[in-house]
Amino acid sequence: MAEKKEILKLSGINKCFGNVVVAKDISLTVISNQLHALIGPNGAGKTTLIKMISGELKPDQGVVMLLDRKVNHLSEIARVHRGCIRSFQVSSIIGSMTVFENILLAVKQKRSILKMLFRKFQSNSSESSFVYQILNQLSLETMEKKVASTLSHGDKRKLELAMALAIDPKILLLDEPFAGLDQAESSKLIELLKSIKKNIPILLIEHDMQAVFALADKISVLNEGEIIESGSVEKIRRSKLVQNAYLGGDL
Amino acid sequence: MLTEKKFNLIIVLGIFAFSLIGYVINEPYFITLATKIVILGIAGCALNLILGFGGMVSFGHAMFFGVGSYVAAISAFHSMNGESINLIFFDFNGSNQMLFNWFLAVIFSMFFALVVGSISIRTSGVYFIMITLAFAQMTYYFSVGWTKYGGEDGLSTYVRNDLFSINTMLPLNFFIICFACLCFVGFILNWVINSNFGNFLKGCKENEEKMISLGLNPYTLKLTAFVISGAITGLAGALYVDLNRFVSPTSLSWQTSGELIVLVILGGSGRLFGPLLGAIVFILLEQFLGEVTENWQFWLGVILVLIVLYFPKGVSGLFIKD
Repeated sequence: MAEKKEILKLSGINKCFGNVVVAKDISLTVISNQLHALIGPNGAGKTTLIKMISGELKPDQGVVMLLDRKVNHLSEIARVHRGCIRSFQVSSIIGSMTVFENILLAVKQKRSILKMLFRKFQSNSSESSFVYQILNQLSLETMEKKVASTLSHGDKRKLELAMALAIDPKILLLDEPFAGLDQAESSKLIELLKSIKKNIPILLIEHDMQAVFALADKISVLNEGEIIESGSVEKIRRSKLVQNAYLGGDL
Repeated sequence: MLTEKKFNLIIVLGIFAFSLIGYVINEPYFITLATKIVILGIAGCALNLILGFGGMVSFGHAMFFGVGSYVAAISAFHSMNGESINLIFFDFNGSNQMLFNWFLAVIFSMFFALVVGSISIRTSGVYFIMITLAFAQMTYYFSVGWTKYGGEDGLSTYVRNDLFSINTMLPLNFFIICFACLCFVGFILNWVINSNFGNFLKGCKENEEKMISLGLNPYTLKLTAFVISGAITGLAGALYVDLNRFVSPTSLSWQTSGELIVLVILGGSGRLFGPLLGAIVFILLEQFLGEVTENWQFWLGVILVLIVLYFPKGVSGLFIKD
């Protein structure tokens, strides 16, 4: 077992939109080889929290640490370069390009404009084998030449995940990847995330409790901008506080 | 249906053939028409890079066209009357060399594109349209008031500039020069579109948020495209001065910007040479519809509406297979 490392650490995060408190003294840690699930009712501030981690929003107070370095001052793009990769609630892919091209975009995200201008949008052999490796991992290999907008909802979600993986992430922030998936697709995605989390820590926002309980190493429950409970799956299942605030009954 | 490569080849060869026919039947007017098509086509293709591939509807591209025109014309004008421009560090005597004037035009329009782009690209949608229009109108009114260079009446340069020892006053020679520029521009744009950069630009058009989450900066991507587009439009402007031996504020006006957008929509946005076909259709309609009726622009409007409604990929969409 590899050494446990703190990949992402939030401490004392506060955020208000006007008078509305969306994050109140939030602290949480994501450790390597771990899937940390963040659950909570709608409007609890989950997506806002993801946005503060990815850099789209800045917290009013508190520290965001990525791989032991403070990243508060870094832009969203700089954080991507540090390996903090995010997926969206709504499938976010380039619909007019093929599946292969979508992933190639992610592989090719070089930083210098000049390099981009003078290189053709083609994969060399190492790049294409990398893309195929990802396609295989997500069992998208038969879709390679399909235009992304023609994919089924489940495959679009997979493609989005594939693009995130292609950037070589240090941590994945997944915003409701199970939304809209049917039973079969869900169980496939659970298996997939199980294999991914061995290498890449994941912060997962999810409403699908079955998926959360199957996957999570640790769960934090967010309610009205506050973490009301945090711990193992068993602890959360049993917590009266969580049941009252969020689930309104037994699990 | 054709592949896009074949389509491009046919369009380009078609224009060339048209001017050759004009030469053979001794109808120089045909050659001038073909030259005009080529020059407007260059500007249209340049606009298409940001409009069709980058999703930025610039309603101020006449600015770059006009800046290119004015810079080339002013340089030619000074070389003709022998009066030098005092540029603090040195006196600039103007030039009657096409290559040099093109270079100046490209540099100046690049600079304008950089300044205007860096401000406008912070906005998008309707705001982008309005802010580019506003900048273009600023340059327009400046040129109207710039009496030193003709103001509202425009500026004549009387003769065409020189290029090596070619007699540029012969219509066919000048056509070939413009045609060579078109091929060069086509090559550059084709390269840009198929580069990594071009594909990221297409990505920006569809989903800017996603590009950010891939670690790319849409602002830089779009600004680079904007500057490339401005530079090429400036080159077209410089060629247009040589064609007409005259420049006026009209080349900076919003009507010109509108015409460039019409070329892109008519021909089909998002295709390398779509706007070139747009220029062919536009010029021929202007020409032949203009002979039949004085209100040719009304009919152009009707055609444009029909194209937008029924052929969203423009006229080129009728010929190119996806």
